Amino acid sequence: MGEVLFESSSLIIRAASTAQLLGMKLAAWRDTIDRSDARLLLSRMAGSSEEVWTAIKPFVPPPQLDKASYAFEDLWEALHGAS
Amino acid sequence: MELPDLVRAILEGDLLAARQWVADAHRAHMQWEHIEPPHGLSDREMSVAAALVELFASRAGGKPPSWTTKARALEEPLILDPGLEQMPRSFAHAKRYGPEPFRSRNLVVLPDFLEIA
Repeated sequence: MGEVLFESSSLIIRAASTAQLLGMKLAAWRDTIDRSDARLLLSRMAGSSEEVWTAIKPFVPPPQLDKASYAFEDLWEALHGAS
Repeated sequence: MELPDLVRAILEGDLLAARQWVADAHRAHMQWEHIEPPHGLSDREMSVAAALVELFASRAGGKPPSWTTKARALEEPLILDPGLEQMPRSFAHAKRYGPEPFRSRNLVVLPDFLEIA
């Protein structure tokens, strides 16, 4: 989960985590703006492609999983090269 | 908010401006069926304009104006999303599943192009 920004006895506000934001961008995948944002977010995540996808997947709505999956593969290759 | 402004923003690759234009049009409840045909556009610009109006009309659950049917397909594919061709799976998906008003005119964009969040 993301960083806690505010906490009181009745309210906790968290920032969205990098994995959550990236999941949202991959689910959207509309154009070069989404790709550029996603690339920045992915550059801040450590691990293998399988590990990173496992972290992102819970934040992708099920109807967008196929799109997010091919988007992630394209993005991973663009950033890390083809394996 | 004139349609040629959106067309030119897209053809110049300024998708941030394009997104803002679409968001403004959505807030203004633009009636796509009643949009007048733009004047002073090249054939290429007219194809893009027609594709956009047909797409937005469809997303709004309505019909496009009749003038869009006169806008023809380009002879060569035109990628309206800068850098898309560098993403092989996404590019293939766009060519196969991109919005019909664009595919039918040889314009390449992803299925959710200019979709408002």
